[in-house]
Amino acid sequence: MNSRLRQLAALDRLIHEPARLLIAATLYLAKEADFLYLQNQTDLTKGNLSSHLAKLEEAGYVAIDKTYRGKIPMTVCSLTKKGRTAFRDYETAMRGALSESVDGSLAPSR
Amino acid sequence: MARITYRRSGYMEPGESVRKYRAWFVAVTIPAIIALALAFRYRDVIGWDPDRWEKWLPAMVGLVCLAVSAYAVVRHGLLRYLLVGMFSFILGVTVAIECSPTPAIEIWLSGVGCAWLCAGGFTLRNYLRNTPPVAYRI
Repeated sequence: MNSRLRQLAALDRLIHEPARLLIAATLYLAKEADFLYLQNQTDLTKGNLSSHLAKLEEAGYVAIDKTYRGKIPMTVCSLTKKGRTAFRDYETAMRGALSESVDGSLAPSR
Repeated sequence: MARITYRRSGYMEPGESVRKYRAWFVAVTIPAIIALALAFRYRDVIGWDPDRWEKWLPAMVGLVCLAVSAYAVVRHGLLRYLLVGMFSFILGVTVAIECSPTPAIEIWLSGVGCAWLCAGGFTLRNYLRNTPPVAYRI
């Protein structure tokens, strides 16, 4: 098996999960975003988003700041440096493996 | 009775992207430099007289608009700003050549004003189309 494709097995499963990948991808493009924005972008329920954010925060990938805008409570999330690095590594590994397979190097030999 | 309102879209502070910044910078500056170089090269053909600088006022203002809109694109990632900026520069050059001196700046101002109104209208239309209304029961 190709070594690049073998990298798929070593993917960061914390980011690989589709909902968390959506969250990480959204936050990667932003400096910071609030809970409502993430909910609108990812179409996750409040509970689901909250639990995924908690997992990402626990891993040190996401920083969560609970603050107020006027009298309205606001949960602001951002990717930490560790989170950005993990997302970039994930992206590189995925791109590498997929490009190998799409290029045909994995096509069965005849 | 149902009250129709629209969802709050949330808060997001856009991040800086170096690659994106470079792409926009190249997309804006290279055509502008080429346009200026061509204008200088063919200054006799287009009637560029340095003594009559006011003739080129719309083009210069258009170039400033393009620079400001390019900054807005880099900072906020809003493509329509770049389109309006490019339109204002092209319109500025066109009216400077064709309509100078008297009505040029007036035509430029009304043209760019209409472009901003159209850009705002399209943005509002897209927002209303893409954001589903939420009905609140009272």
